[in-house]
Amino acid sequence: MAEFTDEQLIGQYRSCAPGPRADLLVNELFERYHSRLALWCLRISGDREAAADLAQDVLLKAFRNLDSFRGDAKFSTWLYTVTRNHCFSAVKGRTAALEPLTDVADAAPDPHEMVERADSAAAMRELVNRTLTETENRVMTLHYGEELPLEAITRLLRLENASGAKAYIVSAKRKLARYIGGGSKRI
Amino acid sequence: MNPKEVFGKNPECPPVEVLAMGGGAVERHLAACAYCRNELALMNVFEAAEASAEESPSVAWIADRLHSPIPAPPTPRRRAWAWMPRWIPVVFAACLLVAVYVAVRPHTAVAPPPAGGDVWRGSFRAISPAGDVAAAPREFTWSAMPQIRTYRVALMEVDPHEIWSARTNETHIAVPPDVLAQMTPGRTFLWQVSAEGAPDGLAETSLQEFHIATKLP
Repeated sequence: MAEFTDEQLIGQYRSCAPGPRADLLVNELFERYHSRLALWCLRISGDREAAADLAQDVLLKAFRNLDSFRGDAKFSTWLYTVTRNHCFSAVKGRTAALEPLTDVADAAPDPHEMVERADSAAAMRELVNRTLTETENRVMTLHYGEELPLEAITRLLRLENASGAKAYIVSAKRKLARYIGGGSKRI
Repeated sequence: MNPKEVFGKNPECPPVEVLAMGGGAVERHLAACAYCRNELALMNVFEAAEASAEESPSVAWIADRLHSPIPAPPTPRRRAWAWMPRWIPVVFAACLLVAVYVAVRPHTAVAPPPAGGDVWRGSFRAISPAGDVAAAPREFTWSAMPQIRTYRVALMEVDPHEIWSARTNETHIAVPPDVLAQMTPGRTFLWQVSAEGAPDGLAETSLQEFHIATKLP
């Protein structure tokens, strides 16, 4: 069945009656993604036992919702969305609150305070987009936008510096503080 | 203002499927939206699946443990005799049926009496006396017949007029003196044993003949 694309497998699966042939098609489809799911879940959870459970849950969820794949995009994109949403929700469930970052040795205000002082969310987004590096942007997005723990962000983005995602949070705050806290900027 | 309004998904952000398709509008949005650029980058991480040397063993370990999301049908518990080829129990059952049938069958089913008036005899036979005998026999003996408790012995002249009969539960019987006195030298007699209570009521030995030798002067 290697000659069939993912979308062709799904098409055949939908056109045949439930039975061994349908099972074979679905198994082939999902087996193609075992390694991808395994790696993603490993980076999210940081533990292979937990990652195996997480990946199995994703497979089950994707199978149960396969009817919602309309074929507008690639199957891999659809499966990524299912995986991302499920894993982010699972990790968020284990994180009671965002990292307070109070131990960070700098005087920059907390992002909550900085946002309060900005004129609007749109202006702030523009400032963030213009001021931060791509990695800083991604770390801030994942931590404050998706509420992922810093350890998961470090693994997901494969950050190899000593303090991982935390260092990017610190540097991002400093940059933003320079514009907002310094009073010199006008967004 | 909540930081999520700045760093999270905003209402203008298209779904990732649209981001993946690209196009002018998407490119313009991506240039201004860190959230969507991050989203696209994460999708590329997922699709590329480039595990580091450190991650590879764990990825292989996890992937090996993943199984089909299709619920497996309930499998019957493996029986102790599951190693046995399927035809063996069938043959065994057939042999058992035959054995049971043989044990409980009516005996006539094996060798029913022929329709010509003859009787079933099988191994049931008169043993002695037979042929030429030196003197009048004092005892008759015959073979046993299964399931028979009573035998009837009849002694006959060759005409064949019955001159004596008796019943016994043994497979031999002594000849009473008055009958013995009738079996004088030079005469020929016939005798036969019938099994009473045989399933078909017709079991009997063949007629046996004996001749008492004439005493030389």
